[in-house]
Amino acid sequence: MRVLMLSWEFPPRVIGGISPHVYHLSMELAKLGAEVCVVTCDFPGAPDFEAIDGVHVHRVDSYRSPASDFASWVLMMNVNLEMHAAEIVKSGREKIDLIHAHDWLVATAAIGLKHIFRKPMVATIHSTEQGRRNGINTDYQKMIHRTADWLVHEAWRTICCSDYMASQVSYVLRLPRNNIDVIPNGVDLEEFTGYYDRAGFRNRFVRSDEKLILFVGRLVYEKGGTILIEAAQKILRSVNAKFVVVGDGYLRDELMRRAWDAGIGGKMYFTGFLDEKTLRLLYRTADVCVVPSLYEPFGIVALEAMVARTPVVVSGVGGLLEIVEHDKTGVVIYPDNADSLAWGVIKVLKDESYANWIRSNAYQKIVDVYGWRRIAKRTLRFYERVLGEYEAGGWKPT
Amino acid sequence: MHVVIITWEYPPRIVGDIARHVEKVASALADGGMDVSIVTFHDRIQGLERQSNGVEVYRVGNPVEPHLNILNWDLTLATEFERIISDIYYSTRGEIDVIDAHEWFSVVPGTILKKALGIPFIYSLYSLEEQRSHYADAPLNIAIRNLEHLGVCEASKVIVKSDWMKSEVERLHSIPGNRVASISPSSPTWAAELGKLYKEATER
Repeated sequence: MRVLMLSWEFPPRVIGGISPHVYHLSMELAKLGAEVCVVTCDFPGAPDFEAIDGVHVHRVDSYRSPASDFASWVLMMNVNLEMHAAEIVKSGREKIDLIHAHDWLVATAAIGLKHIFRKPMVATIHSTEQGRRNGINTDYQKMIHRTADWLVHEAWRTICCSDYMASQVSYVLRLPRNNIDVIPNGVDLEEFTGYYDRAGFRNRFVRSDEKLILFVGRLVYEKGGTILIEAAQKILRSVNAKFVVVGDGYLRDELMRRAWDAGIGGKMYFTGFLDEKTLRLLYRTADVCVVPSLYEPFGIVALEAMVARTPVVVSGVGGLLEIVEHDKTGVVIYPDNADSLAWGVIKVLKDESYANWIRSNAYQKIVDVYGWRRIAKRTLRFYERVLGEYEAGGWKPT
Repeated sequence: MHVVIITWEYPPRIVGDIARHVEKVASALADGGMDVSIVTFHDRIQGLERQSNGVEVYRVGNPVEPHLNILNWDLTLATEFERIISDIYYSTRGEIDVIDAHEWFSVVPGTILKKALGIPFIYSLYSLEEQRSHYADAPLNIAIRNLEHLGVCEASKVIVKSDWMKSEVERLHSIPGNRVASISPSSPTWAAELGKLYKEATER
């Protein structure tokens, strides 16, 4: 199986979640014997070509002239990606059976390559413009929305990371549900192991008599920060704890103001964005991780907490419901409900045997379902199905 | 000899002078015994039309609507042009000897098909962004200039209609004069000259 991955980001270029996703997926596919060639945007200091454990990475000039808007840049960048991919395939430097496109950001390159080489193209939709913006309101948003629509209709099959996203893509992009396969995002189990100075690290965030309650996410409406502040007042009446809030967003000042107004400003620590390493240690050292989101396509935060063996308290929305089973792998609370959130957090913090039961169940579930190896195997089966249909059909050139 | 001409306007869609000119070119080439396929845009009429003179016209719509500017519009349409030309290439019709890409709108499919399938392409250039926008430096103008430069560099030959345009292309894009051919539409032998250039391109 020879796969051409198209992605606008690949480490060291990390802008959002697509970069680590494509990285881990490619690495694990290669370990399973697939030949993976990634064509992606360049990054200062990163080589134009490198082979990482068998994965060929081609970094292409991502269009350096100024662009009038993000979409114009994306389209010019796609011209460069497509030209480079055309060259390396034509010259025989890379051989491909299948093209895998990650999101609308590589739509025109992926669709063009599909047709000029007559190879099947599949797409992963990581999120939708409708979901990101809570509606399609401007011509700009509509253009992006239509591009994603075009991509999934050109794709042989589409991958979504949760049942929730699959129904959203099916509804919003008018794609038959049976054209979509659900393969979850993965987590790297190795990244959450190894020795660290737990007491010393904790000291940077909490006093020794305080429990550490972790929130990770953009500080925007849909992540539920306001509910957290409301619940915090209730929680602090029965537990001595500190809330460590990682992330940034337009609600940051408002959330800080509300915390001080409620008299709990000293118990809330807004860290802003943190580097990956610190964040992983925080996941490991936290006593509980809360995810009070109102909208969540997948819920990677819950997954990372679970792999770090930290109990999670999540709201029952979107992809979170598919990751966490109440009373088994975590606590599921009512969305948009501070009382429910406070109840869940207090329960986990006060009942240690309950917390340990959740910890071990959650970790086991991650190993069983969300390890990258397992996800790569499922993806490989998905590719094989597509290739089988392609080989049997009449579109393949004779 | 089978030529595919890419143009953003072709009758009945008439925006400027290119539509009528390409129509004239296509019919003269067809009369001379060449297989001619036109790949073009129309927002309502779509599909294949076989004209009485033997010219095939493939009309496609733009897969994405709306667009914020002409560049976005062109680049999603370019992918659709690639689809149609690939379909011609892989169909029983097969064999495309040369692609004639008209104006900057057609540069991306021309270049990519050349790189992917090895089909030589000619860039028929009518005017340059520097001239149309008086050297304006907005990101949009720069992007269009970049596409024109890509076409000038990647095409096996650039065809212009006057010696003055030839000198302008050479000056603004610093390319050697033998890469640019001037064929005046008023010359009695223009169709033969064009046919000769196509032939040269395929022989490279």
